[in-house]
Amino acid sequence: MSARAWARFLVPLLLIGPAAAQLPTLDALLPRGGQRGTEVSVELRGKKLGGALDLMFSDPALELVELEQESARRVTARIRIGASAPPGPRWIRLRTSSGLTNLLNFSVGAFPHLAEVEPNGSPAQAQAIGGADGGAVTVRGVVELEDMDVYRVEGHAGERLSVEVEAMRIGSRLDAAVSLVDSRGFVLRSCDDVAFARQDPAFSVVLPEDGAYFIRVRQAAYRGDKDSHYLLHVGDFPRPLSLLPLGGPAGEPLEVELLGEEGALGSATVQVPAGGAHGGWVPPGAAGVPVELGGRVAPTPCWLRPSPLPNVMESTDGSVTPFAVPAALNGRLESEGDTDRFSFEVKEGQSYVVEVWARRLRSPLDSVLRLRRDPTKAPVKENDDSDGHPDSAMRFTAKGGGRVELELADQLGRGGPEFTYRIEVTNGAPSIAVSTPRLIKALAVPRGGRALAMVRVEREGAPGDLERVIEGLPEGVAAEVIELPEGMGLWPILLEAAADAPLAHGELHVRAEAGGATAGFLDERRLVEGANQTLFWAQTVRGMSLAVTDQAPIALSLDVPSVPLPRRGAVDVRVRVQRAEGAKGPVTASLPFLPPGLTASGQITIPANKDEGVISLNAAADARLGSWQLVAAAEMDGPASRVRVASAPASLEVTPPFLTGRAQALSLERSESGSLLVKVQRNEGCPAGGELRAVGLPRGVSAEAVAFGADAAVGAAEVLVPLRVAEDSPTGKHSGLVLNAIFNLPEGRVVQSVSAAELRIKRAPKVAAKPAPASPAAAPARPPTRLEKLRADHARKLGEKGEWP
Amino acid sequence: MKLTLLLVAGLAGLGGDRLMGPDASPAGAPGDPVPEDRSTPSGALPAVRVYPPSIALDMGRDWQGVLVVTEAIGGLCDDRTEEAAYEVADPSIARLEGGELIPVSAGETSLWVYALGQVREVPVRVSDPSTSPPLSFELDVVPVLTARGCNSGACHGSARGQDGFHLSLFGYDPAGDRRRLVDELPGRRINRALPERSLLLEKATGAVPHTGGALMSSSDADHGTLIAWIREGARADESDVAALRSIELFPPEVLLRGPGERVGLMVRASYSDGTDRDVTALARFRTSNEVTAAPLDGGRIESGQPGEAFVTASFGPHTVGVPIIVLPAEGAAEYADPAGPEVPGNWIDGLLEVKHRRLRVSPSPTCTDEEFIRRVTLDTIGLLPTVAEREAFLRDPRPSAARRAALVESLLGRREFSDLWVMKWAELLGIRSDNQGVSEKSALLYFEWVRDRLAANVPVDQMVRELLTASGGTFAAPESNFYQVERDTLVLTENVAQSFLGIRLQCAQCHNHPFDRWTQDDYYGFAAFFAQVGRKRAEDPREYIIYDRRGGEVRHPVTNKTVRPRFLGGEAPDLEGRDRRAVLADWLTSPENPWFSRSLANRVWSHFMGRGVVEPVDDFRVSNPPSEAALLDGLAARLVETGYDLKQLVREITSSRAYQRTTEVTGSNAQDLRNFTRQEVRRLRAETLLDVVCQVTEAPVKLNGLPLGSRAVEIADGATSNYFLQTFGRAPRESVCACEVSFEPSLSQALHLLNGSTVSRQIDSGGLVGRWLGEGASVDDVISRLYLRCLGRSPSSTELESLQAKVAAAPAAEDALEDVFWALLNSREFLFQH
Repeated sequence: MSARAWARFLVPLLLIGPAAAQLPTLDALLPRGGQRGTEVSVELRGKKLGGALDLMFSDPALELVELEQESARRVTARIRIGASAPPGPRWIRLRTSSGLTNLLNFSVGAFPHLAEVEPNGSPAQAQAIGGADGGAVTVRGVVELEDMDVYRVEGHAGERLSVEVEAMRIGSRLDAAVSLVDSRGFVLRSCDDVAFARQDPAFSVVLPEDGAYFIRVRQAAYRGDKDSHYLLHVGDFPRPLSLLPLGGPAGEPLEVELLGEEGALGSATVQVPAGGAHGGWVPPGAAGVPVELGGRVAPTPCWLRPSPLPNVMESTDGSVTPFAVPAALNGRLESEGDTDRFSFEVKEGQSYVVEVWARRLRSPLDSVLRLRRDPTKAPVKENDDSDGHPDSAMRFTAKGGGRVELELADQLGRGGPEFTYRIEVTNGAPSIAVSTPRLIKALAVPRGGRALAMVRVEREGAPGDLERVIEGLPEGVAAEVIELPEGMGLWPILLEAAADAPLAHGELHVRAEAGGATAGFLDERRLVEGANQTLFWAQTVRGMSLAVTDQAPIALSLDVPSVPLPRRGAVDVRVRVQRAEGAKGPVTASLPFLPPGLTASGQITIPANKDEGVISLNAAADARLGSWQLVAAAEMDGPASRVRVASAPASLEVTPPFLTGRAQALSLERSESGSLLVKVQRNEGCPAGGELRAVGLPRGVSAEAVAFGADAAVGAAEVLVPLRVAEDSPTGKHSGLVLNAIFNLPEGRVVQSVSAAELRIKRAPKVAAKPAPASPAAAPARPPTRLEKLRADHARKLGEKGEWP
Repeated sequence: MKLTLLLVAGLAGLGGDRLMGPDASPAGAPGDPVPEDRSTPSGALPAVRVYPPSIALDMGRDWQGVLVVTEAIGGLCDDRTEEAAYEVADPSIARLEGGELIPVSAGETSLWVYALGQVREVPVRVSDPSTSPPLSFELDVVPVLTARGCNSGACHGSARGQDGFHLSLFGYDPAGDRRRLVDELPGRRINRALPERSLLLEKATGAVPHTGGALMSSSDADHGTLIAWIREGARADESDVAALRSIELFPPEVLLRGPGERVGLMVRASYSDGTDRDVTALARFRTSNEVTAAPLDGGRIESGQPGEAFVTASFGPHTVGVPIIVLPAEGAAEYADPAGPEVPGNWIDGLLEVKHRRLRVSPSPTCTDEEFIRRVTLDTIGLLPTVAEREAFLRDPRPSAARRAALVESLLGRREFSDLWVMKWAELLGIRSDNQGVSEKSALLYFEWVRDRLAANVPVDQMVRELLTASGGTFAAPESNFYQVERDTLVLTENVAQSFLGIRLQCAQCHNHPFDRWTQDDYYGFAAFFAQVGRKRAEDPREYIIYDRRGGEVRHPVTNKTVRPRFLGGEAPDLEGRDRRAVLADWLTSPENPWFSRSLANRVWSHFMGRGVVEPVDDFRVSNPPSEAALLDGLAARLVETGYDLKQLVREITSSRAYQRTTEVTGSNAQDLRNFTRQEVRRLRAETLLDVVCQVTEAPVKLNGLPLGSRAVEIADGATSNYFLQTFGRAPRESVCACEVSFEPSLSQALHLLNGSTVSRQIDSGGLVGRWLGEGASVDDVISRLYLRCLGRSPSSTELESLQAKVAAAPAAEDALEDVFWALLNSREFLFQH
């Protein structure tokens, strides 16, 4: 890969679409972390940051002390970090008078921070930092191109020295690699990636002797650049890589073993969180817990699965562990080649769901799950990866009762003290997920205006009506959910801010409940992406960030004609823009959601000198009937940054077709005229008047619009649509003809397609010559075969050659 | 020419005991009146050899020709088939007809051959003379189609056939060929009622227009075979038709003197039912050197210019060869080795001497110490000796051999030695990032893995085993990139064969290899070892996990049946419960594998000699034999004995006289290109050249992805390059082929050195001349230092004088001296290994 291709490969991806540069955008947040219980000055750099007002944090333990606008691209702030904040990443957004930026990560640490001092490229130039006996520290550094940062710590034999780097986990593009070298230059430990921290390194060793040790930090492929920031935690802190058991009921204390590569570091009691964590990339259903041992705290949390299932521990003597469904099986593959087995009773016809939780909780295990009826025979079911992650899962319905065996192994036959797992076996539970479509990342509601938020709801086996709860609206903001058919799984939420609503921010929490399942909003914000948008690191968010901003320079309204839209019909809607003084720019507008079966002509641009644009709506033959609310959304460049607004909802009625009909096929010769016979049926609600028009005609064919009676009542009728074929019209079968009914009503114009039609154009007949009477002839001789011809040709050729010696 | 019926008499091989079958000589047979003495003094009678050594006639239509060759003093051959007299001891069992032995009745007898006053007895056994089983399409018809070229690549054997008729190339798919002849367009190609009017035959004889022309006449035996087959019903073969097992080529070696000499060859095929046939007339003969030995019709060869050639005979999927040496007609010098006693040489020289003596070629003398240190330093560590190293070596008071050995020892201890081989391995393994499966990080980790293995002196066989059995993440276990660099099972198979065995299997993917023994069965049987390699994405989007899927097969493209894993040229092993790749790795690296150690030894030899014993180094093939098989065997054996100790092999190669010879020609070795009678003049490879330019100018270049000061041989990722390296033919590592590294000179290379930025920029940025002048060095001094630094020698007095004059005439001495530097870097003496 060329250097340029590489540069493409690890660009940190900042959220938004093509208009990204025009919205308030954060590119950098420095430093990337701070010690809890201190105040930290940070610098925020980005675009369109003018009118900076406040910072928004994912955790109330962070507080803004002071904010200073340096320029539209640079803001400085002082942040106070609560002394009891658990260590780990948080996200931060900047709010300006025109909106909220994307989020960037900031790591709250337990240790004092130092800055890297260059040059530190070799052991001789190594920067001395605290270390094993001097107390743990965090170094803030940057790996430039082909850079190597070397730090020196003093240690004593038998002391624990733990090293952990936060780089990609705080949204840096750095893929860090670390090695620990002794004073003679021997590498004691190298670490590039570790399952616990994905691309970040983390390890813990017991020092073999007294003396100086060197920690080298570099980019894994000797790349790096000025944005490759990292936080290096060094000290005698515990660095467990996984816990055992890996979960328990939420809200309850859980006794866990802290496991590292060399075995158990000790045990501790943790409080199982209800879900989520303050920061990091947390898959749905997992949660981070801070870990502490002997008063020393790890710099980043470990991961657990909160779930109400009773914990079953694997038997320690290597035998098959029996259990009853539902249960959560906890254990680990202690050594290479290890497999763990569990058995349970299944009931005929009952369905079961088996789900492994290992890598999602950062265990190194790459599970393979096998289900056996007979332990001596091949598995009846086997799974390696599921749903795009290395954890296995299977679902099955028992055919016949009896005992079955579950077997868990590592795909590569690996094992070790930290290879823990949790297998949840249930009869299946309904589930719901609430997230956003990828486009919308942060919301801005202008004072006295509206904005549209989209929420996606997916449910699996959770029947019944969905209850929804919306919380977290800032003062002066109201929310209205636009109803769409249930199957779409989409909730557009129209947010409206009062004209005097205070400029503030909040987090919109949306919760859905049905059939005994409940779920809160959970989504990912992509922080580091590679080529082809492959995801390297994301931040989990539990709400939609929302800010009240200055009044928008435009107001939007949607004008839907009060005529119904019949199936197979089309109608035009108007988007009107009211511009404030000086709001001259072009406005792009669209209908961001539509009920099923409706399509719109797409995004339109209303030029600077116009205040109105038209969007065509089409209803398919199976468009969902009923009355639906539509909302238009628009955006334009505001004085500070891009502005997005929404209109008030307007309703549209989708009805059955006004007219149904069927046209008879017609056959005409060139230069001929004729009429298409269309049998139509006027349905209930069909407006009076209207005309029938044939479109999609072949070249040279002309048709007349035929008005049909204003008085016609519901019922069948026959209409003749005259056609004239030109002398050069293409002959053949033309099946692209369509008959449209057009109703010009005072409220608007509705066009509905009634029927397809077929026109056959024939050549004008020539006067045919009289066929000559067949003359009787002798039976023809058998024609020579191909081979015989070839032989004859060849013989002739040879003969010719003979004549020309 | 009725070669098939040839009754040849001749003499046998030139001291080719190793290659000859145990029965090749009838010497010592009872009643042999003239016991053979192979060390006959001058004037003694030549030895008479008769081929084949025994004759078996297995059915009514069987027959066998005879070849009589005499071998004179020094091994010169003479074909006496026509002059010899023959007699069948019991004519009621077999009789002679037109030079062929024809069965009469079952029994055993002897054929007596009289030549040069000597008698040889050939045992003859006849069985089932009254039976004539029906002709087999595969055994009888396809060989005719092949012999007449019908199924060659230019004719109906091309991928789409020719003029609407397609045959499998060289008949690899007999069932398909019969189907196309008989069942495709029924009744068109075969006429069962009038076989001689079949289109097949009318085309072949030119009775109807045929793009390929007339290929046989209706009186040919082959024509008769085709007609007989059609007359018997154009039947498909029964399933138990005998399989062709092997073919033999007689005589095993041929030595001729002067042009225009003719010697007959004979090919005999053996079948799985124990029968054999004389297939000389049906075999295809090719020569590696048309000028020295040209095949004539009917399996004879004619000598041409003095030199060596290798003539192969192919029949079915088998190819065998015979080495042909043609000596000059007159005045061939006697062998002499001018190497002085101070370079004793070793076993390598002993083996080469045998060959040189036979060729009557005298090797060049050994080189000077000055030449040696430059050559061996460049070859061993890819750098030039420094001035200090050179002086220390030349001052060393020990005898030359000890001094040279000590120098090699010190070079072997340097890190740069393994760097050079890491680069070679990186080429062999194709370490290169791409946009699909191998990220830059993977490439770097993979390269570092190789470097760590070589630096830790891990035996190569173990390293190859680790590569072949690699599992795990491509980051966590970088050796698993072996399966990620090439993700296509078939290409991977070909790469393994080419990289580790030196065998190019590619042809056999689509058809049986035309010049080697490999069939599609071999190819797919070998590929089946890699059928179960699983790949899946790891969490890091750039990483993949390689694992054993424990399932998956390859299918044979002709039969569409799954193919059991089978070693190349070997058996199908028991794989129960094992990773197929582990079984393969054990076989591949075992000492019994004839190719692994040879291929490796050949690559090492080629690095130091500029040419492999087999050349190209990754093209071991029946039709491309080693120039000296015993040498290759010896090198391979040393590797195995020393536990694949690369350094030991390097010690032995560099201490041989063969390595230490000059590049000057002696006269008799002027034409010799392949027998290591002198060192090769070879251009430095791209990386080494850039490194030495940087070394002598003391100005490092910046290579992408490597810290400043890194050498070009340390480039981890094959996708990294620069203009200089590209121009000088650096391997882009897009394939594992040794041909990727180019040593070809080109105009753009010359122009780049002359006008391009690299050389002059390096001289400028190194600033050596200015520094020396600043330190008070005289012009003479600077010129001498530049000569020593670049060429490893002092300037001659003429050189010095002419340069002094040029510098004196120049306006600025520094500029003029930098021009001298530039000129030296452009000189052939600098650019070439010599």
